[in-house]
Amino acid sequence: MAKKSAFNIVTANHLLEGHSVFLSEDGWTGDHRAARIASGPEEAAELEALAQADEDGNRVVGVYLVAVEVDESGAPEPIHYREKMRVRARPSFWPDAPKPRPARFPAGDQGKAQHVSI
Amino acid sequence: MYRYDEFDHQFVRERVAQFRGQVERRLSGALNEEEFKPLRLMNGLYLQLHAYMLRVAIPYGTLSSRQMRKLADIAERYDRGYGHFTTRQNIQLNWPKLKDVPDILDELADVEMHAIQTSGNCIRNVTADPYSGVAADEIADPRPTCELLRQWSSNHPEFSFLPRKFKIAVTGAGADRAVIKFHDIGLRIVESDEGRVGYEVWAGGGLGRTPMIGIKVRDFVPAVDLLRYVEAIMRVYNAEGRRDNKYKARIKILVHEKGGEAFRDAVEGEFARIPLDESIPVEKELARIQQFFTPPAYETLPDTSEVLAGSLAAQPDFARWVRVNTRPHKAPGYTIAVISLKPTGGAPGDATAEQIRAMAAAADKFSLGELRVSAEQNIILPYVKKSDLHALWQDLEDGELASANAELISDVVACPGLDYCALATARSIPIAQEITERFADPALQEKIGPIRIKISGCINACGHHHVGDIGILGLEKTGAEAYQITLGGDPTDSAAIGERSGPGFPAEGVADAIEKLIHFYLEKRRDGENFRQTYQRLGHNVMKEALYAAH
Amino acid sequence: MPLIRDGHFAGDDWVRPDPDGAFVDDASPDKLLLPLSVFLEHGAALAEAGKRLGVEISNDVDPDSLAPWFGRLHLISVLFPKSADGRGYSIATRLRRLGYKGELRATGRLIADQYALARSCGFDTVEISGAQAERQPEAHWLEAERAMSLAYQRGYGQLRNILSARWTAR
Repeated sequence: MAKKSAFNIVTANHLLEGHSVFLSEDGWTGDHRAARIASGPEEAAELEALAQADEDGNRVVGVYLVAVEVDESGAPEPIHYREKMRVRARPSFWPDAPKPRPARFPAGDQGKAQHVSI
Repeated sequence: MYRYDEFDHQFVRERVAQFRGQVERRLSGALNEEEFKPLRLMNGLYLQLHAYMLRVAIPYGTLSSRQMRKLADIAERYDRGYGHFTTRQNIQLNWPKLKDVPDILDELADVEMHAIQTSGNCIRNVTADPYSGVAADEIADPRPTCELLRQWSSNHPEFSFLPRKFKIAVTGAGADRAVIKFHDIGLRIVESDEGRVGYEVWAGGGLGRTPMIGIKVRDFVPAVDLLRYVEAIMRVYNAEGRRDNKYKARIKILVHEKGGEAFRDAVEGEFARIPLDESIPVEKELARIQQFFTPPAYETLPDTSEVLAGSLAAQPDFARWVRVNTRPHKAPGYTIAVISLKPTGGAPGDATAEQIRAMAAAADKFSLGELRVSAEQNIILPYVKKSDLHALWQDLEDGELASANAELISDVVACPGLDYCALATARSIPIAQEITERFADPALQEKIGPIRIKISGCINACGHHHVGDIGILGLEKTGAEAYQITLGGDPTDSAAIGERSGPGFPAEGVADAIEKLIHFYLEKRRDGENFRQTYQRLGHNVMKEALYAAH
Repeated sequence: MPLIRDGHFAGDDWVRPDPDGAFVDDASPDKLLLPLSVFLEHGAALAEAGKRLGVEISNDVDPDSLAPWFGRLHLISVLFPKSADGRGYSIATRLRRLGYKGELRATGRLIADQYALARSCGFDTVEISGAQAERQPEAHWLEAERAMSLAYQRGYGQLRNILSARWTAR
């Protein structure tokens, strides 16, 4: 069974572009190590709700919490191997390559999402 | 191959515009994700672990060099320069952006391609024997039937929101290479005693969580009745298929729970009351489509080629490739050539844009501009002259496309697995890579002979592991990837579902176990036996022991 | 609840009577949309009292069972519990093939993008929730209805049939 942890980060996929993103203090980022860490179930629920607002606002899709451990530098690392795979942002057998450019855009209530014509 | 007329063109263009509008409404919030998801799935767009994934349809696995070049182009400009050919004869792009997908679809429409219904709870790509039209054992080319069904099933008003996905396969040969007994509907083209052409109809087969072999619903459905008969099956399924549990929603469950007799009765009852539309007989439309599949003007050639014979004698590597990667062709002097997308250490079924272009060029030079995709994730050139084989092989060697391993042990079939797929419980590609590395030696591979290894990264079985001689299923066990091995599966007429061998192996133990099993087989086999025959002779219990034997 | 007819939001004078109320009287509305069990029990009496009758069925009802009542029914409403549940399309197709000529309504969870499919299967109208109508205004339904102008299938309504067009062109 998955190891439970007191710590969680929240993740989703960028709606328009598709890559994994993580909610940080400064908004959504592609770098999981910069993600905001929730300590305990209440904080986790709050964090998830914040993220959900952006899903409802059509910026991200598929919000969920990821159980993490916190390393010595204070950065979160996922516990489950699936989430470890996901934060790599590329197949395991690819040589190390830069991750996709992180999408940084502010989270929270920014008013109604703009209609995007494509 | 089929060419769109003005109506097909218009249909696809309108479909792209429709999707473009749907994306806009998704971005504006008029459609939420729950509403948008089935719409994007019906246009082939998944959301996966790292990115969106677009599954482009390659109807019954046939495509032209022009279409291949467009795929290469799209892979480069909108994706990361490669594509993945799938176990249902389609191609997947792993990194498209949602905002680009309508443009990608428009570009595909330029070359008569689309991504319509490659996902979703609707009728999917109708697959066929990859050697359609050219196999020496062919009775009738299944592709006109596939094209007829493709059109009939496109944006079907009644059957676009089925309980679950629906997969149809058609074969027209003596040997079934389309796996019809494991499809929701499987059709075999047959001739009645009076010489009428029709179909033997199978239904209720499938892999996935609960693999089942289909039942024969009817021995003979005349060609003119095909669409109405399929309509009858679809209507019974739409009405009665389970909708309470996603994992019990395929037609195979309905057939199993209802019982074969009751299912047949329901279908025949429904068929009897579908009005016969007299004005446009199906036969007329089928005949129109058939014209696109008339055999090419083959040159009159002797069946043996002296040019070829010379090259075979001179170059053992080439001789091996011919021995392993060519298949008997109807037309004298011609052959079917398999381009393996399973290089040692590669991701099965992947091809770079450059390789795709190289294959397109090879098709233009040597195969009348036409290619096929097989459910083994390889590319077929269907019209190669034997005298051209050496030149072809040299071109393929340049592109690292000349692995001489068709249907041998390193011709591993693997789904993308946890490296890509959000549904996966384990990785499959690294397992395939290691197996191909262990068995890289071409002489050893030929010695082992034909054997199917199929790997699925989760219980959904997209790698078709149930029908592998050796099937590998990647699961999770106590927080780590664990691989169960099944033995004795068979996708052909002698359909069989692989049996579990025992406790799972950790990732690093799989290749070792397979090696042990193969060496046991090589030790025990009698003259001329292949793996399957040795397995059947010795039995499952004896064979499975070999996997777990101490070194 | 909002009703879509011909791509526009339209008025709806059908009423679902209060299940506890007495509706077999002159004061009750003219057009009554009844649950199936109520229709079967009270339909004859209500028709006699001059009411126009409709029946609302869940999507697991056998359409053939309604055939004896076609003469008495001006509306059949088929419930769609989820937009992914496509049983209603088969029910509608069968009702039309059985010869039902009255109004056929798809009620519940349909999105605009399913409108054309519903029309092709024989639905005249679609009834959705207020909340959904806000998110999917009239323009979406009209756009969705017009998105595809061609259809490959025969035996369904609405769109220009490709096979007919092909064979006429020859």
